[in-house]
Amino acid sequence: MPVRSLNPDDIPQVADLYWQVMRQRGGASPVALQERMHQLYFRNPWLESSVRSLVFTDNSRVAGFLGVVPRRMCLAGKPILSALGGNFAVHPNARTSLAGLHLLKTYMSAGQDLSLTDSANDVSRDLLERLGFTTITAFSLRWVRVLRPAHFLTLAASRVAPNPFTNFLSFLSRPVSAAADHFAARLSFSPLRLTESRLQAEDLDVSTLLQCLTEFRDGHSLWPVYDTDSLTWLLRFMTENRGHGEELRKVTLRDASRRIVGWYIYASAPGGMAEVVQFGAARHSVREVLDHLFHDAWNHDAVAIRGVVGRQFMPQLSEKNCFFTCRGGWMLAHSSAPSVLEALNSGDASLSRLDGEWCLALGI
Amino acid sequence: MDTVPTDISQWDSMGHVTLAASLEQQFGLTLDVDDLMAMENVREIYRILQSKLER
Repeated sequence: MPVRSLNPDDIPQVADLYWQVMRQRGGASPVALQERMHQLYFRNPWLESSVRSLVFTDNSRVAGFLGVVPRRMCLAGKPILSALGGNFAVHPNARTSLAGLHLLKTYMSAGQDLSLTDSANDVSRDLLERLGFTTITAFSLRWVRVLRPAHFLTLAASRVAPNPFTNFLSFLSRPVSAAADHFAARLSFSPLRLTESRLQAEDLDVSTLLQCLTEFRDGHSLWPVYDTDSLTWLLRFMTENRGHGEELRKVTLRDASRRIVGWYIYASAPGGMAEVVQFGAARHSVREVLDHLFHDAWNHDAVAIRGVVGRQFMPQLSEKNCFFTCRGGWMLAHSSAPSVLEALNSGDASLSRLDGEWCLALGI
Repeated sequence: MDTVPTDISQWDSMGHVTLAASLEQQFGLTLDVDDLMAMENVREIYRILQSKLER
């Protein structure tokens, strides 16, 4: 079967495939993309010989690719190995070789306890479900908090009908939208009013984040395992590659007695949708942490902000006038251990976008 | 009977699973991942269906 592990020498061909198929661009891939792929697949801190990225070859040329990054997790205190699959691309000329199926089948039967993806589109979801993956609805639901409603409407219109007319209309309406948004955020009767948080903000460093991840695990059965090296590598990768926004905002929040009561990490997107990578809060401080997050995103010019719904935060998100949607990528999982899928399906897992392949976007 | 996916442009991975789903519906049987991977040509599909229907 023409599926084998990815070698460093394959990277130029894999980058070209990604560039042409996933990015739909012509010519050779940029050198920066090849460097990022090398960094992601050969220099990540979780390298594991039994879980490797895969290529499908056709006459010794790379015609298909499935990027796989191992991650360590714990289920009820026992270590498990997960494999995040992403950047799945097959050259159009190789599609009738069923390259996609061969790549996925090889991926599923590697040495991991859990195969996971957290940003599958509808087509990938159909294919993966057919191969035995389960859609994890508990982690596929998104919350969205609109911060600038007038800009949000024009942004939505330009996405639904992207043409010069809607772009021109959006440009013309900017002053009116800015005024409407200003009032929507400040008037006391506005459902989208922003509330000042009294919490004190500091930059979130790796050791504090490690501490938060342990302290605020909330009794979940399944959780990701990090150490200083892996978390440092991951945050640096996201910061440098800007896969989902301009700047990665990392904030710790303390109360008046200097106790940590929450934190958040999000990718800012001036004029667009900011993406929350992770947020956490002490049970009594969820509303204040959300207030701080929304305020920070507003100050960084986001039109709206969204994140994955954590079961424990749903009431407060609803109270803060977020709406909920399944658009934004599906989480799918495959495991031969029913207890792993049970933990995921029931939402009994301390997982965020930091722990999936979404945050490993190459940004090019 | 010797037709293989490369003979039909629409017979890609997605087309393959769609075909499998249609066969399941038509014949009231279940095809697992190994069956899917073994369905390399029309002859193999016929053989797999026949063996499942005989059970």
